[in-house]
Amino acid sequence: MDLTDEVMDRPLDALVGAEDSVIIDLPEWHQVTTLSFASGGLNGVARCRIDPAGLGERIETTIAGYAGLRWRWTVGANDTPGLAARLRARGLSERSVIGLWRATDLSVPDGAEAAEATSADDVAAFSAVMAEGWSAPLAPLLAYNTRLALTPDRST
Amino acid sequence: MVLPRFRGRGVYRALLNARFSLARKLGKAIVTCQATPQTSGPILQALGFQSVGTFPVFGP
Repeated sequence: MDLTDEVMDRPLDALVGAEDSVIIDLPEWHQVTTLSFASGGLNGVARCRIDPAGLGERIETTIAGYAGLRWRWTVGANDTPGLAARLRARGLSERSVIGLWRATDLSVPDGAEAAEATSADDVAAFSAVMAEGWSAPLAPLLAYNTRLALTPDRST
Repeated sequence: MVLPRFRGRGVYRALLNARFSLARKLGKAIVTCQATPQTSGPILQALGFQSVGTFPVFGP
């Protein structure tokens, strides 16, 4: 089992987009574009393993395609060599994420009880928390979470 | 997402427990995630999560 692959690629297999999401899922490229999520969350590139010769043009067309949207481009360990340097040189903002894994034997003491959202009211409350926490519009989050609640389990 | 006014009540830990419980129910051996180094990363590492690396994320 390649743990880096598990951390970076497997979540993409389970991704459920919004109703208007355009998802490109190819071995060498994974990109999501969602016009209804202008403030972010469902816009980004998560896999880029294209020929280095086409990298510059792909970066420019991708960024142009996200005009008016908040987006992110995560660079994985198996992506095209030099990708991070090219994006950095493009003057984009940069942060980082840590890829983590753990065996499923964890049980921590907790002072609260988690409950599955099963009703429309639950989904509305869950969406309201997300909207407040992310300072994002409620309507697209509510539509998306309702869609998620209706989508069959895609656990990988 | 735990709103600031609800922090310190074990909500994040409860959500973690629920996720691990579901993973075990599905017969999964491991769970994975991508965490922010300044927020959830240190909490998860203190709970035994191990790093496979740090990855850059770019944006506008």
